[in-house]
Amino acid sequence: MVTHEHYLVLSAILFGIGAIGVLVRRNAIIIFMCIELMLNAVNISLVAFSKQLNSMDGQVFVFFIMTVAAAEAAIGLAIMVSLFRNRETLNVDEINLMKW
Amino acid sequence: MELIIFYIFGGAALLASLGLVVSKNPVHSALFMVVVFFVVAALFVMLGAEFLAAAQILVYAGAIMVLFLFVIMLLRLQPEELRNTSRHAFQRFFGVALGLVIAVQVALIIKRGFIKGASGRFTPEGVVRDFGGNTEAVAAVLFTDYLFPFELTSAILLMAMVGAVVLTKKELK
Repeated sequence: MVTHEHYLVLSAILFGIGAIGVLVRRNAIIIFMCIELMLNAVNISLVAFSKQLNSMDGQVFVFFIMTVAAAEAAIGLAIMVSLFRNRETLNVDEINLMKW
Repeated sequence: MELIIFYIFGGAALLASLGLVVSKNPVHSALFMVVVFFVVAALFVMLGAEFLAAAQILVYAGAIMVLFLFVIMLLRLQPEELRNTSRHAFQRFFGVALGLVIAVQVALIIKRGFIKGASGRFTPEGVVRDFGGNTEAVAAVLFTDYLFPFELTSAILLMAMVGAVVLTKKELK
């Protein structure tokens, strides 16, 4: 019998892996994909809560998160294209123009 | 039986997300990401959210990952040195440590303060009896209680479209 705790623990582990990826990797595109992974982990737990509470609100929230993720991917990748055009790199250690 | 299927999909999700984080080539990372999206869609089906499973495959695996792969191949990135001993040698260690701390904290919150609430009207039987299916039930909530946020998402998508065009244009007239 699969309880919702199974899904929540899986969601926590996936979120942790995504967080490690954001903190460890230096390629901006891979950092971006790890952010998408964290969004997906949150989606799993929202749908699990929606099933636990017999409510549709969690699934509607996931729908909104998907919309925001699509918009974010379009904007973020556009930023990366213009960044690469100007700086010839996507290594986040070298993108330090605004660093004090 | 359900437990076995859950462990197969959960294990696939964990392996693919680890592959996403450790692979040197961004294209391999993107392909691992596609696996994660499909597995998450399968978990949505197991949780009774069929509409979200379809939307997950269409939006994430169909649109977002194509965009990612397109940009990766457009930019001709050099493979990142996985074992770089550059100026930030401690970064990797602290990154892994902080990520583990985050995972443990989230797991503790889940175990301790478990979310409880009154059960809603969308039981698995009630959804089929009153609405006819998951998609109709999502629509019944989305177009009544969440109508204004739903309209706002159209503004977000419009802004994203205009922003992407403006940002990637070579020179603005």
